[in-house]
Amino acid sequence: MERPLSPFMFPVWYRFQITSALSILHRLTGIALAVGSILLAWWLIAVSAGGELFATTHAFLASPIGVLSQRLRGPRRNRAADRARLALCVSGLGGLNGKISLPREFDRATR
Amino acid sequence: MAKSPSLANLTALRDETVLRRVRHFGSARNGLQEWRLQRLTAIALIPLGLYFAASMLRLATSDQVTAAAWLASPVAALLVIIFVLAGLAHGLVGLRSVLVDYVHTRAGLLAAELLVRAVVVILGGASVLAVLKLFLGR
Repeated sequence: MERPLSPFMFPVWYRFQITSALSILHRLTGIALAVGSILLAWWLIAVSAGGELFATTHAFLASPIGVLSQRLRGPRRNRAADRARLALCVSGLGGLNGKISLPREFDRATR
Repeated sequence: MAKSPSLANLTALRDETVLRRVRHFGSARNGLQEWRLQRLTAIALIPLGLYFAASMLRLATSDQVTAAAWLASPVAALLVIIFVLAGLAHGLVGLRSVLVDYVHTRAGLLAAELLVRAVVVILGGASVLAVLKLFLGR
C-alpha cells in the first residue's frame, strides 16, 4: 500500500484549477447518487408491495427531508455533462484543447 | 516441429507481470475491465437516466396503482431493471475507487469494500425482485 496518494495534495501542492475542482465535485455528487440509490430501491419495493408501505414512502418522499434527498439526485444532469466533457477531453475531439487542458503539472512532468 | 510458444512466453514482460500479480502491485492486465465497465455504464446511464427521470416526473402526483401498472409494462420493467443494474455497477466502481484513495489500511479497505459490495448486491437484488414481482404478477 505504498502507492502515491493524490488526496490532500490539492490545496498544498496544486494551485486551484477548474479541472480538479470539477473532479472533486464529480466525486461528491457520485457519492450522493450512490446513497440515493437506496431511495430508488426503496421506492421500487414500495410500489411492488403497495398498501401501507407505499403510503409511508409517499409521505416521506413528499416531506421536506424526502424532497431534499430527491434534490440530491439532481446532480445527475451535471454528471451527464461531466461525462460528455471527459469523453471529449480524453478522446481529444471537439477542439477543447484551448479551453480545457490538463493541469500545468502534467505538462511539466511530461516535458 | 516444436509447438510454438504462446505470446506471453515470448515477451520479457511476462515475468514482471507475474511478479506484479503475485505482489498485487500495478497492473496485472485486468484493470481495464473495470475501467471499461465504468465508461460503458456511464454512456448507458445517459439515456436510461433521462427516461427514468421523465417517468418519475410523470408519476410524481399519481397513486400506487398507476405506478404499479407502469412498472408492470414490459418496456418500463426492462428499462428500470437495466437502469438499476447499470447505476449500481457504475456506483460500485466509483465508490471502490474513492475507497482506494481514502482508506489507507488493508483491513479497513477490505471491510469497506465488502460492505459496499454487500449493500450493492442487496439493493440490486431487491430492486429486480420488486420489478419482477409486478411484471410477472400482472
